[in-house]
Amino acid sequence: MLKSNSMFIKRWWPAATIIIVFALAPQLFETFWGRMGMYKLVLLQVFLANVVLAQSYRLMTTTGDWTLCHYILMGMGAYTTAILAKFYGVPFYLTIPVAAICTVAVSFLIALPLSRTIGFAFFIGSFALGEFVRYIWEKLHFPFGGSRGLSNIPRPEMGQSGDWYFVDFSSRMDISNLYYGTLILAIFALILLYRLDTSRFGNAWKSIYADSELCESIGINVTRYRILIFCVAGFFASLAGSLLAYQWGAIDPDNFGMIEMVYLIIWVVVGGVKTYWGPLIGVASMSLVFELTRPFDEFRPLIFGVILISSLVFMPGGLEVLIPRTTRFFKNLVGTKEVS
Amino acid sequence: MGLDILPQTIGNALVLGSIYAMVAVGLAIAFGVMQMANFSHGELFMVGAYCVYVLYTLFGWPFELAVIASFPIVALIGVIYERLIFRPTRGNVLAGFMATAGAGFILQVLISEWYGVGLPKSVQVPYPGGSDFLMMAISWQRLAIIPVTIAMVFGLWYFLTKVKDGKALRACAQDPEASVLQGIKLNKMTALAMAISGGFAGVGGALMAPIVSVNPYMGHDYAIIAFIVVIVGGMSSIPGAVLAAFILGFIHTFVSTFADSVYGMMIGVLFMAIVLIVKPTGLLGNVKV
Amino acid sequence: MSFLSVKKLSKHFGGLIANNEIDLEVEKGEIRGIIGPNGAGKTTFFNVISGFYQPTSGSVTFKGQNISGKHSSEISKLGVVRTFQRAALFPDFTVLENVVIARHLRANNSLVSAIFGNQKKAEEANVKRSTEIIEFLGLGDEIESLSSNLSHGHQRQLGVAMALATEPELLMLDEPVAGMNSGEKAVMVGMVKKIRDEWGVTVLLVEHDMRTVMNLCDRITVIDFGEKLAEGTPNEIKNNDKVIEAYLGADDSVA
Repeated sequence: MLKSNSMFIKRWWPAATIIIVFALAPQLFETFWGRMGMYKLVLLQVFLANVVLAQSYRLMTTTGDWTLCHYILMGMGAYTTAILAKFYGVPFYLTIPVAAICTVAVSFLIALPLSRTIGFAFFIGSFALGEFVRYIWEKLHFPFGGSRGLSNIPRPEMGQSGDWYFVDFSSRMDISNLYYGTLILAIFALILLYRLDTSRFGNAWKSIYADSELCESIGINVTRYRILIFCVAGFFASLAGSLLAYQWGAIDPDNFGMIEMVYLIIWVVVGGVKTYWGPLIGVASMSLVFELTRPFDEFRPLIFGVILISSLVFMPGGLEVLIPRTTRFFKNLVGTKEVS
Repeated sequence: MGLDILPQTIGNALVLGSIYAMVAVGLAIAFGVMQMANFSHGELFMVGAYCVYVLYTLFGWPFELAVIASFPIVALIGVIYERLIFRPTRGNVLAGFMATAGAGFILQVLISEWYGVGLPKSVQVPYPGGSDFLMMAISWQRLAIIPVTIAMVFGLWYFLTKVKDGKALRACAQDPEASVLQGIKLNKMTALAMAISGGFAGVGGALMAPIVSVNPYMGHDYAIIAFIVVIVGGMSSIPGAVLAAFILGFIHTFVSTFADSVYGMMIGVLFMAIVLIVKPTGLLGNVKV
Repeated sequence: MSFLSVKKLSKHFGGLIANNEIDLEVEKGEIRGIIGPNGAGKTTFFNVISGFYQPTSGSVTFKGQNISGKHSSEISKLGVVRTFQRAALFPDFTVLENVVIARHLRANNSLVSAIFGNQKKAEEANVKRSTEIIEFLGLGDEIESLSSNLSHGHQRQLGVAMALATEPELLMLDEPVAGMNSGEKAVMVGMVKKIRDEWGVTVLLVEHDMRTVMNLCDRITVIDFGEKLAEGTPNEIKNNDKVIEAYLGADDSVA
């Protein structure tokens, strides 16, 4: 009994530590940066949404299918949430699931023509179909706001003022409350993604990547599973999109263009996709680089371009391949007698 | 909107189809020879346009010379791509493709730094005035694109079928291992393919420089279209690329004339989706990509 | 009624007629071999029956149900499972994990139970049965080895184990002894016999190796130039003039 407890702790302590740090972030930020700290919290919120997005992309790539429309799927979630909240006053606990369902439907429609293609044609086809969706946002003034997009998206609120369960997102306190809302949704999404990854479906998708012909022969309808993973990945991308819609308060079609998609790819390539931690490392390291390059922002695309090329040429597995080496390094430092 | 604009629309469609063909052929040959897919093919197009801007507008070279010069300049960039990006990632199509996205960023920043982003550059039209050629009211500038494209595609056909290195290129596309056994140097072939790929994209951009606004992001739309064309035509098929280029040129022109250009793009994408459902390998393709 | 009934099956690839109106009846519980010279169309025939190719014309019926034109994954769910000539396995997993995966990839899952459900009990049953299969086939010693580290012979055996993991009623073996030495061949022959004798699985196999086929099969069907040439017991086939002529000079391993 004790042994299984200690194994549980051993496995989960890094994740638990990170969650605790994030939970304490508002206090820490206020301590270090005073009032400015609360506004820097927005950066963390964007970070959390990006982590969910990157993890959902990692899920997508499990079958070996890399898409170029993933950012658009996130945009679907953002737009749907924005439209429901702005025009119809729908509360957040409905906009988020409804947006997710709509995004799954769109994912399905995009996946259908792509389901019999693989590799490169799949990649480009997904790009073209994603752009199609973006053109719709640009063309239709109602409800998408055309090329100007949607602004003044109301902050999420729960209940009416006066009710005992009213959570006020709209006062000065709102930054911190919105942060916690984001954190909770992000943790929820990440746990679900983890469970999916280690489930039978996760194994099926990984097996399809390893040998799809073999999978066919043991009863896996590969086409169906590929469409399924597209939709599930779209679901989680939509969650990230809903979060960002509420945080930014305004969205337009240019927020979901090719450049943003390439950045998503950079996070995932730099971090790696083989392990569950890869995307987290990728988003963290690239967000850091992004912040550090603020003074030279015209050179940013060049810097990231060089990072992307170097990563693919010199470290195609991503930074996550360094994890076992790093843990072994620390274990040796600490003097653990374990044989790795 | 009577039938009187029909000849003009057809003319515009031929012009557009020619540009699409120019850009798509480059992609098809690079992919056919060694599965080299260039995400930033549009940026090569853009560099070609800037060649004309620099040589013709800034340095005063004759327009024709500037266009001709764009071929070797952008071809060289293609060769650099091959050496630094495609060779190390050979075997992994997706990795090479994504790496070229990074290269595209680099090119955009470099051009922005050298020539500024601000207002788009405009290049004077060397062949001013409209023509009434065959009842089509099209500017000479646009019309000039058609013969140039025909000449270049014909030149490529001649190269691939009659010239030793061209034939070696085709052999390589069919079977790289067998080609190596025949003494063909793979690296030379991949570099050659990328040179042609870059050269065609560059000339495409050069020809369009007086017609569209020149800015570091102009290549974006052409890249999307080039990819759609290549998918519809069949990933590594050059005749497929040419055929699809004209089909899509016609679709885009007609829809744009009667509706607008965004709808044109959308219909093009829908057409691609239909082709993918009915024949995933493309109209003239037989490679399962 | 036959277990597997193939009637006038044809497969054309453009102008090439790979299979021309072939009939085949397989009885429940038999071990049936399909042989023929190189290029005869045996593998094409195999691929059509198992759903990897679509037939041009003709029908395939399994246990009275029409399976022609169905997708391979559907056919395998109905109880007809095939193996591959190549080593088809999941290289990053152990032998046991490979068989377990093959088992539970087939189970109908809902997404919700995958995320929220507790699958411990089903998992335990899977592991137990998988271990049984592995030991039955004599791979017990390698059960914890990484599948990519196995010898070719063992990898082929693992392929059979994975096919068996789906509890098939008809097992289709694609050149089961290709690339094996005589020791490995004998092991495979013993294994196939055991599968039929002890577990009642019907076996249909395609093979080049004459000695193996003669030893193993109850009945043999010979295909040449895309058409059925002869059919009968090993003795009948051994002495069939047409068969001897088809193989003349090609193969000297006829028993």
